[in-house]
Amino acid sequence: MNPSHREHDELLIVRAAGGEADAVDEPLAERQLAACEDCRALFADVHAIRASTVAEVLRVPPRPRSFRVTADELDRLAVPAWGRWLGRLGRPRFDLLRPLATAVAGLGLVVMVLGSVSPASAPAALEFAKGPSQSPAALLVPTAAPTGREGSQDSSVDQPGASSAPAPGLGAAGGNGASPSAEPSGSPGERTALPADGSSPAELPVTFAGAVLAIAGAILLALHTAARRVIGR
Amino acid sequence: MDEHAASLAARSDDVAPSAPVAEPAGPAEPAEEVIPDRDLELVARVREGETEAFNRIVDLYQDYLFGLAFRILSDRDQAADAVQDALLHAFRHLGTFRGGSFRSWLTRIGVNACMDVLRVKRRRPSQPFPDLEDDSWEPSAPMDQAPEERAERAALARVLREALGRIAHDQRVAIVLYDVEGYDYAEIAVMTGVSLGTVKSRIHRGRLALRALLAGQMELFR
Repeated sequence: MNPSHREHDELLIVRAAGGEADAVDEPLAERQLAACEDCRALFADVHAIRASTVAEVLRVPPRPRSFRVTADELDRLAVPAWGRWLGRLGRPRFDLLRPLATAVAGLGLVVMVLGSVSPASAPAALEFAKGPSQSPAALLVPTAAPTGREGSQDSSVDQPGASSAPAPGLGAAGGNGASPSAEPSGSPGERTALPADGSSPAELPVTFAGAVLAIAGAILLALHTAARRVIGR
Repeated sequence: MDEHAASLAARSDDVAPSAPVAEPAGPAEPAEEVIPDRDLELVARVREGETEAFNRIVDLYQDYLFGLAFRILSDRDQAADAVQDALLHAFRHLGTFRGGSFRSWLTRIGVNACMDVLRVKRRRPSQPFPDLEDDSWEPSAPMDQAPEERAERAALARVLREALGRIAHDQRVAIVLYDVEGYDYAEIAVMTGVSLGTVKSRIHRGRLALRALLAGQMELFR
């Protein structure tokens, strides 16, 4: 072998032999072919192999059987009407649905969590705080309401002396508050600011909306996944 | 120098990929412009629930698909299985066909079915090329062909198939689609799901690998 052939670009010669050398390749290939006998041999070999790689040489035996499918098999394989309907959702034009559904579900979860633990009920708490005592403790109590409607921590707040600065309406705000005796001592208008079960009026719709969003997103995601599976994507 | 320049200029047009070769047992193909309409009409009928129209598609393409699968797999039984899988897959997923060339769409499914078989083969290697030694299916040569010529041609086909069977799967698929079936780079890129550059690279490297494998038998090719 010509020692310098190792440094030659063999793929360049293969491209040239296949008639696929471009304007840049051609002069390079010509120079290489003129200078190297091994490159010339490679050119001739690849050309000959390519000329033989045609259907007349690579003949195919007769197929061993017919591939026709019986009507029963076709009926079994046929996608049902609901599958065809669902399959439309899996087409590429609906690909945006997937990230959208994920975003909706994620947003729903965030709203749900925020609605249950953050000061979503702040407006109600502020309104409630307009009572005789406006200590910070009074503002904080309603935020624990959703998780502690029947919990012991809120009932402990109900008891006089449990808080360093008990507000007059604490019992109604934190405890189960069903008893009229536990009603806050504020004006009647203030009393109507809180529902009978002690939760803030704002937090329930927020949590509920979050849950609805999360469930809707999850359903959409599941539908899209199923649709893609139906059409084999 | 001049001789090679002339060879380059000729760009080996004599072996330029031609239109895909129709298999001998296949039905007569209608005029070129009628084929897409015929295919699309059949696809529409299958989509409307006329399942028997699918068997018409099978009649039209089973020989072509079997030829393609055999050239890729070098095994009749495996090729038959791949074709069956491909056709059933095509039927189930006809909803994903969105116009264009139905033949290319079906070829893509066929190539994927062959690649699945090759992957299984790689995991569970068995007798590598069981059909290579079996020439019983070869049609008898024309009477005017000399016995030596027939023997040479058979030997050429055998060594070429064997060499094709030994190169990398993706290179073999690319070479079969380009050199044998006559698809262009862009079509092969779509069928195999890779870039144009990758298709070219596979074809060129595959040819280089074929040459390395056939180095001792090049006299058959001249």
